[in-house]
Amino acid sequence: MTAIEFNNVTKSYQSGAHSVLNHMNFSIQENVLTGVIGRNGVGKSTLMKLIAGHIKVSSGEVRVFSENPFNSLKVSANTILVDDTMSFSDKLTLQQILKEADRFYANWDARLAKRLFDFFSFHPFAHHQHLSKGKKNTFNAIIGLAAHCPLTIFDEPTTGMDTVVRKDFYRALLKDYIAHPRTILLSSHHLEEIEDLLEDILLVRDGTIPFHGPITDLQDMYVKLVGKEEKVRAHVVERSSFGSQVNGSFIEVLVKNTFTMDEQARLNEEGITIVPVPANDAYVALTSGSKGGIDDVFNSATTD
Amino acid sequence: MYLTVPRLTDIVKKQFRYKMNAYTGIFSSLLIMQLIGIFFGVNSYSSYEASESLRITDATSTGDTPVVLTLVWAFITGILVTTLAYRNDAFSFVSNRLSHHLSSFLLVLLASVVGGITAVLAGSIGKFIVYAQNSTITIESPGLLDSPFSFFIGIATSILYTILFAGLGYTIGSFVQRSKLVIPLIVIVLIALPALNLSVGGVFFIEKTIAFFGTETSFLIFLMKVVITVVVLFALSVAVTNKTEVRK
Repeated sequence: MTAIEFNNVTKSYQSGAHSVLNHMNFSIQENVLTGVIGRNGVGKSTLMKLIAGHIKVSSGEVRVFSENPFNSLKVSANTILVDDTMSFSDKLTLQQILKEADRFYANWDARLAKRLFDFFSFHPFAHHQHLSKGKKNTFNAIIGLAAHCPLTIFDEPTTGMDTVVRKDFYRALLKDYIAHPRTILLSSHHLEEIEDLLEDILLVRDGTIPFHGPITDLQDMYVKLVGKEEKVRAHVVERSSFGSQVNGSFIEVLVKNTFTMDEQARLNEEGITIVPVPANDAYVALTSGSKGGIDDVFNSATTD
Repeated sequence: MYLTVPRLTDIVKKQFRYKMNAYTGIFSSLLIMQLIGIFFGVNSYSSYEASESLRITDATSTGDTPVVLTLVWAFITGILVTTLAYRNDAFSFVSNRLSHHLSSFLLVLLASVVGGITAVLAGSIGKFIVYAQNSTITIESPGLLDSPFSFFIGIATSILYTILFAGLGYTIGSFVQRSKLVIPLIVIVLIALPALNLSVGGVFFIEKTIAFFGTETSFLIFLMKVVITVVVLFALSVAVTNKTEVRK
């Protein structure tokens, strides 16, 4: 069953001056763990807030559980969006907040919440606004996990968490997802941290979706050629390269995986190896703009 | 995983309980306002020499000061619960805009009832303080024992006025959430129009409004006037904020 559907969705702030999402179309199946990946400011958070029904589309149609999420109680009751805008009254202690969450969410797993709460060593009488940024996000993540909502959305949940807590959180997420399969959206700009977790990737760039599908398909879009520099260069001269690295007389070049069988055979004869790339390299290649690298900023400055 | 099908009334009930636990500050500010009210209410002494051998001391206490301050509190509370921080808190859990309004409004209603009752009682405390300090003859105004009916009417009226002011605050708060440009508009209506005297007809309108509630002598008609006004105000608040984006 389809959990989320975007039909030609456009979202712009300030009366259409700048559109964050641009005629977006995609659909996400139920019980899939999808990573929403993209650079800063491409509209990942906007997309998630639209799904949660917090903000409304400028044009087009969003469907969550076949309902328009904006002002839908059904969507709200079955969805939780964990991000840094989650706020709780300063009169409530952490323990009381968990108790309130228990009353609101039908599938609330109080046992899990308690165990995670103790594991991450929270004080039951502490107040949310006195927590550090990392602790706040850890606490929010506990609520997100324990709510067991059919649609669980984490927007940059690990901001401010230290390395150990990040790893623990991702592990907890994976274990809980396996035990209670549900539709999960997880956004991060650190694909390398979450690629082992994800089934699908929804790649966002400039308010559009250049890629949506299994993570292995993303990896297959690019390869690395490794070999003697002059030989490799001869092969990639016709192709656009997405990054290269010289190691002595050898070179690695990242290119689109559009080699035919014949070409592959020829590459092998010349001693050039075709190496599969990590998902992160493919992601960087797919999302790097046409402006070149940061080095170009400084290079052109000196030539001016 | 199965989908929950929530009922509006259930969610409103849960949110109401949540807000009762989360916004205890509303009640502590009421307490402080009324203590200030009692303090200023009793503090009017005047003393004068009637003749060489007679000295008269007037110690008057008014139960109005706590009531007036309670109305101010109700107005501010009404505005407060519509602010961004309160809205984001509500939308951290299950909510839509209507359920948020209903539960906030129920909270404001309950707070107004508590405020209205305690305002009258605070007035009585003021009288008691004056009596205890002077222990002389007290010319009593209607109280619970000699005229229980008017005492209860007094409480009911106090509640209704508190609700009216809270509802007004709530509506103004909702309009401000919709657009910040409403703030200068309200300032114009409240300050500039009366200052312009009769020339614009603003004073006429404000006087009429006050007379509409203030000169009503039948309690039942007054009750109806307040209920209808508050319902209209609430409907307006819901209507102007039904498209508000939250947790931006």
